[in-house]
Amino acid sequence: MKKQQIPLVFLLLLACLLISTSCDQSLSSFGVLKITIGEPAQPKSLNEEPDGVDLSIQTYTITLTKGEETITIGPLSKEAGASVVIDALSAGNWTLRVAGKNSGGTTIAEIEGGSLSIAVQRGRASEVVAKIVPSSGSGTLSLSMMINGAYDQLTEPKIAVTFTDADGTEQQSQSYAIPASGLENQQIHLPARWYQASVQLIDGEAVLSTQLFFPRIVAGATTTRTVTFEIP
Amino acid sequence: MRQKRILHLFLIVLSLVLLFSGCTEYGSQPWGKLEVRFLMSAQKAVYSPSIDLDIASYQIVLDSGTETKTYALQAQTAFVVEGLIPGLWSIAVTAYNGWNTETSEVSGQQVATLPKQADGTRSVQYNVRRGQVTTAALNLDPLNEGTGSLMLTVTWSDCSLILENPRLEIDIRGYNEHSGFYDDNSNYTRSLEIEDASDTYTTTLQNLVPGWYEIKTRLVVQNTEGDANLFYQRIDFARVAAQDTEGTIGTLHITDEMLVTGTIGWVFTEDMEQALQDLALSRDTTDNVLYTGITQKFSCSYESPTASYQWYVDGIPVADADEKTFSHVFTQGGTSRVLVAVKDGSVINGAELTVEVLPGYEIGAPGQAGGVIFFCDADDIYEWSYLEAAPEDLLDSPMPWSNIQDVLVGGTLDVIGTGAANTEKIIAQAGHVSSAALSCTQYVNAGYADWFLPSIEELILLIANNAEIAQTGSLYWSSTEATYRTAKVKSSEKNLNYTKSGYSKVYVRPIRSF
Repeated sequence: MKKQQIPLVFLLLLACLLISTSCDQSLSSFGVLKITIGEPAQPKSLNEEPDGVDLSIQTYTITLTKGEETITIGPLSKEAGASVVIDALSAGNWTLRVAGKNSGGTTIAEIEGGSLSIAVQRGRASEVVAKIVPSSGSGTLSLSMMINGAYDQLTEPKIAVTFTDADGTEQQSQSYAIPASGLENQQIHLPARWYQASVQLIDGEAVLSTQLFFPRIVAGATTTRTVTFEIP
Repeated sequence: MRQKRILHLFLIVLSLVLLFSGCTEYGSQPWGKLEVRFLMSAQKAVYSPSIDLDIASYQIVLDSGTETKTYALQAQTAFVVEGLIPGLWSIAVTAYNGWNTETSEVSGQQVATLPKQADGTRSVQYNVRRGQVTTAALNLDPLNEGTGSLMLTVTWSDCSLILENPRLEIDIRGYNEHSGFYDDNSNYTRSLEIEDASDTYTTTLQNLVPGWYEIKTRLVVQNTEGDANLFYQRIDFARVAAQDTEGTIGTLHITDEMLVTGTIGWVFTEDMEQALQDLALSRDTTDNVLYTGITQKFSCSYESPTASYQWYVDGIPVADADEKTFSHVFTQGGTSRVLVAVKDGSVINGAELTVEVLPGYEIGAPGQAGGVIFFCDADDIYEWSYLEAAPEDLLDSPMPWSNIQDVLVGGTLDVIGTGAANTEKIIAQAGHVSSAALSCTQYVNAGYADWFLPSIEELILLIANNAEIAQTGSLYWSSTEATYRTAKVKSSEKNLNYTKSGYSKVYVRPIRSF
């Protein structure tokens, strides 16, 4: 062996040693870690409001009636109308109505109960706190439902929809048979207010899944919601 | 020829006859005729001048430039003048409030006349045509040359409901009855506090332009309960005339019965049932993975003193889960939906979080820090859920329990859940330099450095539930001090408790909780 080849042989041996050492470690001393970094799940709102309805009051129009007497005040800007004093009223029972209108001039709110009776006494100031709430009436929920997965495994699929208002009162309960194509735009008419809607996927007598959402029903408007059930 | 002359003569005579026939007609109607009509507002004022402004008679002057005719007639709306020479006639009319029946002459005061024309006169001109009726419709205005006065008196002496210090507000403004507009130049506004509780207030306005005035009078008083909301208000009209020496006098005599007005004051509160702001829910950790058997905490971001909460898991309400936060132990792996329904007033809203739940740790399974699970807190007794043993004994064990042998640590406990506290006490002992407890706290595995020396009951569990340790037959230190200079150990081989001198060298297996 030439003297010049000695370093080369030494390097080769060293390389082999390193390789064998590393192989030994990878196979025996160390494990394999697979890291998957997923996006943390984000909370989603379950509230559903009707599209294209401005429910922000911009002006008030106040109407007072007593017999054939009618006094109309307004439209007052929302700020000015927050506290109003009307004087020079004759004594007697007046009926107060308030129309709250949005920027488009559409009446969207009124006094809770529609009107308020106020007794005006001679020489006295009558005080009223009028609560303005969304206009009463009925609106529509357009409900669609889809089933993803093994629809064929279901024998008698149907959904049961229950609407409960904020007072906990069940307002309506309906059930629908579900075709394979799902349900599309079922029109459900409800009094205007917020609801908790419970949609249950039922097969025969068994409740397979329950989903909740919170639709807002506005008088004369339509709220749309699609519920999707996943069947493994 | 002669016959032709006779014919010409006949025609001439015929023409003359015809001519004179026309002259005969002309002779019977040689003049024009003028019909005059008067127009005058009949509106009455609430407060009138002292003089009578009702028209009783007219004086009419017709002037053709060469001839002047003057007529006096009792009030009537029209009359006809005949026999006027055709041509331009000037008409001037002055209305009076009196009529002398004996002399058939106008009398009293001038109350109206024609309006002033562009040339400064108060006369109008009409062209009277021969044989025709010329109609003149004349609008008379109240005489407005000069000024008048208005004295207004408000008295409330008969009002028993009024206490003291009433406030009187008077707004007077001129009103043009013809144009229908208010005259801003003749406005008078007065608002004054009657400090002496006087029951009468009188004001006199001088030099008013003759005409109509709107008077808005408002008396704001306190009622017997001290509320300043009792008032009288009305609008009257006054007429002010020129050349009225006494002026127009208006008196408002307010009585209790006239205080028939009230007020309504209200405040609108708005409940438009808008969606609850910032309603969301979150987990107490940012880990993307949940495990069964571990208590998970969720929190709702919406907070209100009037809000109520209900938590759901996979659409099923959880009993007694009605707080702003929610703790839950998932028992099954898979995808779960955690939902909170929040009711506030008439609004009910909700938010949902979908979580992936992995099968959790079980005894004998690998732990979070690369060790082995030997205890599960299934009854949710402790703040943690699992106890995990290190995968190996400490490399420098067997080792002594502590370098201090002649002083008790004191206060170390036996039970599960006390190993960590025991460890801290051992290390915190005065003069402490080295110990099995300290070595545990210095141990690091899989990045976790929260190890400690188990208490005796934790150690018993460890050996009972870990076959690998049980098979070693080794003795292991616990962190529970037994007696002076001794600490409890466990014989894995004989499954017996020992107390052994702290100087003895015994194996150490760190544990941790999570």
